[in-house]
Amino acid sequence: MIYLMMIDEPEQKRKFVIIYEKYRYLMLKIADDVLQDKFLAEDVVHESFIKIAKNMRNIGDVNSISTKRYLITITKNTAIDLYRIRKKNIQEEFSVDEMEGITGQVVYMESDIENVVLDAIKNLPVTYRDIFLLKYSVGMSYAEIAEVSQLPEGTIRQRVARGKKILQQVLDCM
Amino acid sequence: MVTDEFLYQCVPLVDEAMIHAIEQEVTSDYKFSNKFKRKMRALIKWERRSKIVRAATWISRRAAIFFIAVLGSALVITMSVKAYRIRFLDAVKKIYEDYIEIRYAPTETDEEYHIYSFSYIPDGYTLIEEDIEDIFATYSYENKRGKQIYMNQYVAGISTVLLDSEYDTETNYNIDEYLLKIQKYKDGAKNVYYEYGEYVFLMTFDDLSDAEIIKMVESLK
Repeated sequence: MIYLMMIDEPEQKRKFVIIYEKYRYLMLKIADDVLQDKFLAEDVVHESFIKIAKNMRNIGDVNSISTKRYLITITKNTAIDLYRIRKKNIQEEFSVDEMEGITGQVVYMESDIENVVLDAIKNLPVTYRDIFLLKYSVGMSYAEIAEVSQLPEGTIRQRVARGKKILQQVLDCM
Repeated sequence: MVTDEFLYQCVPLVDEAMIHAIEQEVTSDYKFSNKFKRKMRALIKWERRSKIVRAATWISRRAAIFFIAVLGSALVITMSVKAYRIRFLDAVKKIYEDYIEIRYAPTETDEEYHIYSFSYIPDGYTLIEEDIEDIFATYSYENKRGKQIYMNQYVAGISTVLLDSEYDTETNYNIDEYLLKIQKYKDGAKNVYYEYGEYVFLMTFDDLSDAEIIKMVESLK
């Protein structure tokens, strides 16, 4: 049994409904990319919304990139959990590049930073990249990332440190 | 040099580009199932309910769409696991806009709490989750088609039960003078409410006939 955290503020309740209306198809795609099964993907989307309802404090502007990334992360992790339960293969590290389903070209907004540098970040091993996204794009703390990723906080800190080293090595070779 | 400042500048740009690429591939022509829409309607309605109703509310992870049991928390804290004293009288039912509240007034009796489980499980179903906490029990079963069965056991004397009232049809059965209520939805899903002595059993079935449901209920030990 779980204790469903209350969404007390009327604004947060309204936000929850907006998130559902705007992002259920996005979340379905994320879940379906992992599970390759629309009905299981629906279950994952529902489970994800339960988790989102418990953590509405992490949701800011519903249209922001950080909110979308948070929703994608919750959905992907929930889908992977279900995949593992069904396949009973808990040792396997998933490569989630395919699961994120980015088949098209990634186009960066104009900035002073060279695309090759941004590509280096994008192409980091997913283990490190996903944590970078939560920390440096969503702005989550180590503790919050640990909760979302279901990993110890120490592991998160290590992965940030190692990810920085790997990225530094890649940039040094350019 | 890869610093936090550098990453705070670069990673959002990467994130934005990745998300836009994903969004290009999202289609909104998929028709969500009635089961999903019903579950989300219930969750959204739940999130809209007043703080008073939702305070001290426990929701079964999967059965949230159908049943909610509200605990009398003070009674739970003082109660021991193996033995308790309850009072048991008639239940009071109140009908609200989208749910029915059943509140049991307890009567005094000495009783050792008993955890029930099914001795009969329909072919193809296996136990996937079991959660027994003091005086509550939850079981989840699933078959190879992904169809699920959930059972939650509560002590009527200390619980208030909220039942969904937006089902399509309802059939009542009498099993050894105890009430078995089966609420049916158009997509085939069923909620079951079963009063047995001082206990209340709440169950959900994705896809099972009334006959099989009754067989399971009769097998509770």
